[in-house]
Amino acid sequence: MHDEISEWQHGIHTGDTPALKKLYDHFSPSLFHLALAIIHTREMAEEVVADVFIQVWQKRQHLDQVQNLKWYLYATTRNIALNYLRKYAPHKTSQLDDTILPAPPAGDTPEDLLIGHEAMQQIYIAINELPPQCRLIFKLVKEDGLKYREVAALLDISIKTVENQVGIALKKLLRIKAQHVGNPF
Amino acid sequence: MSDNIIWILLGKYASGEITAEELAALDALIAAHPDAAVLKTLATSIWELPTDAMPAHPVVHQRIWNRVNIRVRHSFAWRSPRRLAAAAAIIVVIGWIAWKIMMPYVYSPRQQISEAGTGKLSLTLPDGSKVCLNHHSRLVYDDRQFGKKNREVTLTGEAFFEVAGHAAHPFVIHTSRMNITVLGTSFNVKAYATDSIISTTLISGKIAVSFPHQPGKAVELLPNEKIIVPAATASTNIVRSFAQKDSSGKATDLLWLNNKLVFDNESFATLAQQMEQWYGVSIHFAHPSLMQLKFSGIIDTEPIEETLKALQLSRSFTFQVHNREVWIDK
Repeated sequence: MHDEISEWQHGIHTGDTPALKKLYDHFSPSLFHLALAIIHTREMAEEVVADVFIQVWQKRQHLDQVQNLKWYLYATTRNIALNYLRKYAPHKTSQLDDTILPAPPAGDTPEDLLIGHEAMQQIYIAINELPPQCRLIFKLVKEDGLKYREVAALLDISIKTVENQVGIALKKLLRIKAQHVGNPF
Repeated sequence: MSDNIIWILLGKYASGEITAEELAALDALIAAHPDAAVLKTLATSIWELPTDAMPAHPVVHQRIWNRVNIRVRHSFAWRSPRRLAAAAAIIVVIGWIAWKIMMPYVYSPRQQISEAGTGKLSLTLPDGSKVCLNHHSRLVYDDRQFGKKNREVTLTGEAFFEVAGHAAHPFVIHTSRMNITVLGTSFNVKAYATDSIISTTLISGKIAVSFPHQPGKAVELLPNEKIIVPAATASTNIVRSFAQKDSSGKATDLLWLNNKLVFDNESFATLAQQMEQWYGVSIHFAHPSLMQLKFSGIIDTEPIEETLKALQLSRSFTFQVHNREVWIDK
């Protein structure tokens, strides 16, 4: 995966548009989720994500100097989203909004079979019922694979907060899972 | 607090952030509570659950990409800024001389092309007019003339226009079978190459419609009026009617602006054609009789399988979707 990203990074640097499309396909859903959590409105979140990739393309001559492209994308999304917020909704607080995680995928994955569809559903419900900030942090760590320190820098919070929030999310989710495997604790 | 520490450590364990020291602390905590032994395994399995397998909706995904793509295609980068400056200076000098010499003799239009793929595309023209292009639609205008000598565009497909008032030049839209002349207004034009009719629905203001195949003939349209001409060149039939409205009072011709495909007692053949445009697929019928089935409804943003399943509720047929091909059978 990491090799693919470097490959796209190099491709974009040399002016290869299909590489930009691949990078877009891979990252835009997660970046959209982050943008939406910051600026609340879907329309603006769409514009933010578009701006991120337009910026990547416009600055492609210098893209080879970016050490960690993934982090660069997340940080750029955060910056552009905050700019939008300042420009268009200065009175709104930048509190994290109720962005709902996508619905579970249909089909029988090995995990499905292992813990059953009903339990999966309950875990999805539980994830969506986490407080917005807790859910976003959990998602950034678990789904997007960001480091604790990266999430802290991105959301301008302490690493301690990230540790706590991931712990709280895990605690709530494990309660449900444990019920379904019949383990009392 | 001591209750929370185990969860913090489990989170770090599952996400791979844990240090050797913390791992030792976690194992010590677990050793003190035999019930907790299973937690490490459970935490790992939660981590392996695919909770994010679904990407953004394809329509949204495509819409954002269209926005990026239009900017990407209209930019051209030079690797070396310094060489670029020199090159630009030379080109400017040569260009200026060439312009002076050639201008009176040569007219070379520069076409500005905007195309919506499977999504929609909103754009603002140099005169401030706003256009929302429906999927698979294309708008072309001459960059050099537009707003200076004229305001003429050519449309294939469907678009909603909000034309900025501009006394010097009327705004003219050319389609295969209609030319529309405008003086500040908003209206919808539907002129897909695959449609059997071409229509314009006026929302506000005033427009004049003329017909390239019937010189001399022109119709002035009033708000909430609609004009329809057959796409076949042999026909000269022009139908003028009122814009159809839905129960909420919105013109049905504008529903696509909100991402809806609307059909009212339409044959499966016609609907299939619209769905082909909407989803970017090819639809094949195993029996011609299936094409006669009639349907009414609204397609929003659901995937094609969902739409077909919904249609199955009112008429009996079977379908198979494979890549971009759809087969309809009895």
